[in-house]
Amino acid sequence: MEKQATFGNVALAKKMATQFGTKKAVSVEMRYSKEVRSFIRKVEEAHRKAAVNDLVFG
Amino acid sequence: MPNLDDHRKVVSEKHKIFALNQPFSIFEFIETNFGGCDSIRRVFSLARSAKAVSLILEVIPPFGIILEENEDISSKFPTYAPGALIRASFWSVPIPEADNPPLSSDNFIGYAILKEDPILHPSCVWHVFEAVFPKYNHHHNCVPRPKKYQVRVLQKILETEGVLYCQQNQLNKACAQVALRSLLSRMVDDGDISYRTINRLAEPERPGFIWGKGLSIKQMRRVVTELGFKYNDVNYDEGGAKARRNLPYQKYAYAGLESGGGALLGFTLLGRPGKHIIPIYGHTFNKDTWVPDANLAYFQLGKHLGYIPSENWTSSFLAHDDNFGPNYCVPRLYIDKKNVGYVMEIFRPGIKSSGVNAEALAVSILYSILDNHADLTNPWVARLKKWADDKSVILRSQAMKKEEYITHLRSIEDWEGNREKAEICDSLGKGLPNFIWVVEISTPQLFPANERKIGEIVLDATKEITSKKSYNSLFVLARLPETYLFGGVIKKKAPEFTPIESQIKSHSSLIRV
Repeated sequence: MEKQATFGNVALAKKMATQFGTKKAVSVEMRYSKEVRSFIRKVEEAHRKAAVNDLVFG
Repeated sequence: MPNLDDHRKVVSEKHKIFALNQPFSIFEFIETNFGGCDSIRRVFSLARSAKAVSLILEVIPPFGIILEENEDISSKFPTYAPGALIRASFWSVPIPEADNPPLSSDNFIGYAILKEDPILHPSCVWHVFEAVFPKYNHHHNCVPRPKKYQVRVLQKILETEGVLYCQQNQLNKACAQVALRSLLSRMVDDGDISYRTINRLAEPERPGFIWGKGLSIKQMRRVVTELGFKYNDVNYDEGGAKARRNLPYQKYAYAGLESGGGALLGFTLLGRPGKHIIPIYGHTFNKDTWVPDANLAYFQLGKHLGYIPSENWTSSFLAHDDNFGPNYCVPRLYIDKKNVGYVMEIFRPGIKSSGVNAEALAVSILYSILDNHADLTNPWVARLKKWADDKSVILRSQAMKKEEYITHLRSIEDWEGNREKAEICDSLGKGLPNFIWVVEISTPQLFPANERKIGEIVLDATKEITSKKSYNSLFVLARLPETYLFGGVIKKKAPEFTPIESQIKSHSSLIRV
C-alpha cells in the first residue's frame, strides 16, 4: 500500500492532539509553493556562482 | 575542552597604572607610546566613552596563539624580531597603585592586546591583536549572542562580554582572516581560532598564497566549512544588478545576525585599490524609524508573495572595521549596493538552513494558512488576515535551540495576561527538533512600537531548504492567537493541519536573545 504523503511532523501532531485534544483538521491549499521554490532557486544560483570569480579580500 | 585563551591569561612581566581623569590626555599618550595608529585611538576612545577612569598597562610575554603568530611571521620574514606586547585594561573606578590592587569584573570595561611588529610600515608598527569592549550601552543597540571572554589582569582572571575585534598586520593576516576570527571565535569549541589554523585551512584553495594579502572567497568558504559551519553567500560581481536587486546584501547580513553567526560584508573602498571585508555582528533597532509606505519596505519574493522584513527598523549594522577599530555603527543603507561585492551569512552550529530561505518558506505557509483558515472569530487572527491581504505583515526570523524557544513560550503572556499551559510547553520540549527557525509574525505599530507579535511559524533548522527537495518535512508548527497548527496528512495536494488550542489569545512579546 502506498504511504500517504504528510506535511510537517505528523507524529508530533498526533501526540499533541491525543494529549490536548483537537478540532476539525484545517485543509490548506499551499498556493505559493512555486513562487517560494523559484525564489530559493535564485538564492541557490547566486550561492553557486559566488566562487566563480574568486575575489580576494585583503 | 581546550580553550585557546592562554595568550589572554598570561602573567604579566611588569605593569603601570594610570588615572585617566583630566588633564590626562589620551591623544598625547597614544602619540608618545603607540605612534599614530587609528585603531588604538579608537580603543582608547571607546574606553573614554564608557567613562573609564583608570588604565592598567601590562607588559606580557607572547604566549599561545600570539607566540604561534610570531613563529609564522618569522618563517616568512627571517629578519623579523617581535616587538613589545601590551595588555591594556580599562576601569570604571580608580585603581590604586599597588602590586595586587582589588579588581572586579563589575568595574572592568574592556581590554586590548597591543602588538608591536617592527617590520610593519614605520609610521605604524603597532596594531591591535585583539580587543573586547561591550556594545555601546544604548537600548537601541542589539548584539545577538555576544561571547564572554576571560582575561587576566595582574593577579586576577576577569570576564568581559562582546565580540572580539582583531586587526590585520599584512604579515600573516589581512582583513579576511581577522574578520573570520572575529565571528568564528564566538562559536568554535576551542573558544578561539588562531591565524595559523585559518591560513592552514585556506591553503589548499590557493597553494602558496601570501597570508598578508588576504583570502579569496573560496578560501573563506573552505575555512568556514572545515570548522563545521554552514553559510549562504552572494558574489555581486558575478550576480550583477539582478542579484543586487533580488537578493540585497542587507537581507543576508541581517539573517546572519538573527541566526547568531553574523555576516561578512565585502566591498570596494572608494579611492582605494582592492577589496575590503568586515564582520557584522549586531544591529540597531530604531522603533521610530520612518517606514511610511509598505511599498518602500516591502520584500517581494514573487509576483504574489511578499512581506515587510523586520530589518526595516534597523538603521545601522554593528560592525568592526579592522582599519579603524571596534564597535562601529555602519548605516544600513550607507554602503552603496554598487560597491558591495560579497556577503556571507554564517549559520550558528546546528543550523543548516539560511534565514533568507526560512523566511521565504514561512511567509508562503502563513499566507496559505490565512487564505484557507476560515475561523476568524479571534479579532487578532481577523486583523492578521487583513494585514496579510494588505501585504503589511512583518516577519522576524530567529534561529535557536528548542530549549530557548520553550523558555520563551513559557515566559510570554498575552495582552490580557494569559500564559501558555505548562503541559503544552513540556510536550513541545520533547517533540521539537534540536534547532529551529522561529519566524515571528507581527504588523506595523505592534512590531516597532510595542515590540510584540501575533504568533510565529516554526521550521526545522536541522534540515537544508533547497529547491530540489520537498518542503513538507520542514514545517513544525504555526502558532496563532488561540491556536497551534501542527502537521498532518496531505489529501488532494492540500495538507490537513492539526489544530490544538493555545491559551495565548492575543499578542505577546518578541523573542530576545
